Amino acid sequence: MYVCHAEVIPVCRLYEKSSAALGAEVAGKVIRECGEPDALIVSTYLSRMQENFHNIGALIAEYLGLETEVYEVSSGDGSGGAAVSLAEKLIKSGMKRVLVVGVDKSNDFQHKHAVKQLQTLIAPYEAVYGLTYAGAHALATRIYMKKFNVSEEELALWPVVMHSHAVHVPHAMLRFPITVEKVLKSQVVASPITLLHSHPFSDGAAAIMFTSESTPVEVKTSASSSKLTLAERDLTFMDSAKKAMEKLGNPEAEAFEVHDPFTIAGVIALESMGIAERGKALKFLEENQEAVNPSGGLKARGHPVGATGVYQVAEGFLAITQGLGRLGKVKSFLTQSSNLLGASTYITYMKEV
Amino acid sequence: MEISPAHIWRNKHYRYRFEVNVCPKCGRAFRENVERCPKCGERTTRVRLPLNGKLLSWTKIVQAPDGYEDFAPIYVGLVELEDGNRVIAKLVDVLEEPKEGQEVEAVLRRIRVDGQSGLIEYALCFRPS
Repeated sequence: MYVCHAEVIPVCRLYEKSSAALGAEVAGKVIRECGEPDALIVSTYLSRMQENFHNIGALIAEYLGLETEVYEVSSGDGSGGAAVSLAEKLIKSGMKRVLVVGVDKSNDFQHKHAVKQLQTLIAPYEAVYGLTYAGAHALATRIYMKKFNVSEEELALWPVVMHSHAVHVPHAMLRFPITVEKVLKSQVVASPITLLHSHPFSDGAAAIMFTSESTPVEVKTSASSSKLTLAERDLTFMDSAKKAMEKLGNPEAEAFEVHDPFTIAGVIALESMGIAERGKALKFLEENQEAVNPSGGLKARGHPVGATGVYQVAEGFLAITQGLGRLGKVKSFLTQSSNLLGASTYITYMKEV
Repeated sequence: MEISPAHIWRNKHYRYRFEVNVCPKCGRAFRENVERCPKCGERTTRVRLPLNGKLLSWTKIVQAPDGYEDFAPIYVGLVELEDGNRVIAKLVDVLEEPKEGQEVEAVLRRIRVDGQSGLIEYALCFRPS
């Protein structure tokens, strides 16, 4: 499978437009570049709850004037990666062009509503006590810190590097530098996670046209899953990410976009994918700053939940065709999109051909 | 707020008693009403988990979800029970900062109140023992 073209809109708070309007806007640009698709796959998560409207894919197709097959894909915060993974299967089944649109909104209500809507990622018997998306990652953070003897100062390197990337990325949401002191002193969200360890609540849309015809960017995908119940997992490792990488033959890439809604998730992702040794992801980040989340990651580019995985792949396409932020131009790129700390993981490997 | 009596009813065994449904063949435990193991097809047996354990990890949730503001900050813990099973539940009676390794025991407490209909939701929580 190859990428024909990709478009993103800057991640921010977009009060004036609905998910369907945003999705159709970004998809239209891609269709005008590549032609009409044989199938449309729409990935979204929060916007259904934000807009009380669950039929976004059908409305996007209507706005685009498409009469092709339409599918909506959902796999928690890994929905975007899941959509890309399914696109490869459709291309392999003989379709010529498949359009993936990721779109999501988080800011239509006060944040406490988005916090509640993100709880829907967690199994009901664990969420009922008030455990939040941030809270689940906080439990993992404390175990990781103890197991590998990592301090809060060391963890703060992650958001500092992410913000330093986003400054150079036009479509990123948080384009300002921060310091370790600021991270440590920022407001507590769910201890030990502070505000500056957390993704911003983001709205955004991205679209990618995949094709069976040869283009300069070739794509391979892989996916795997493990357990959703948090209490039954090793919260410092994502088995699904390891298995998905193995299925792809553990490809080496020059740069990575990993799924980091909170610092700990990015750290564990690098270790589970075999990019860094266990307990050494922060050291790897320090030595390879440009290679890790050149967009700024979920932390600084932003996290429009269902669209995030599509942004990552679009960024890989950008990095290979024209260069991305501090990273510049590369020949190979790997993205990882996971559902709740690795209940399932979707990996995409792109290379220049 | 939407507390559903149906949700509470079908989850009551785990919520109120830490009872799980265990498959005699593969040994997996289900935390809700699963009568037959979806994988093996065997009839599950209901087993009650121990009510004592030690704290593996915890968090103090300050950014509370809609409907939980009155309970904020919410302490939630990951607890390893005496038989090695692990559960996530709320920590209550927190007078000083929890510590990893701390001994805890289960106790039934209210976890949510629906302001409109007056429904109250209870579940087993953990307090220092």
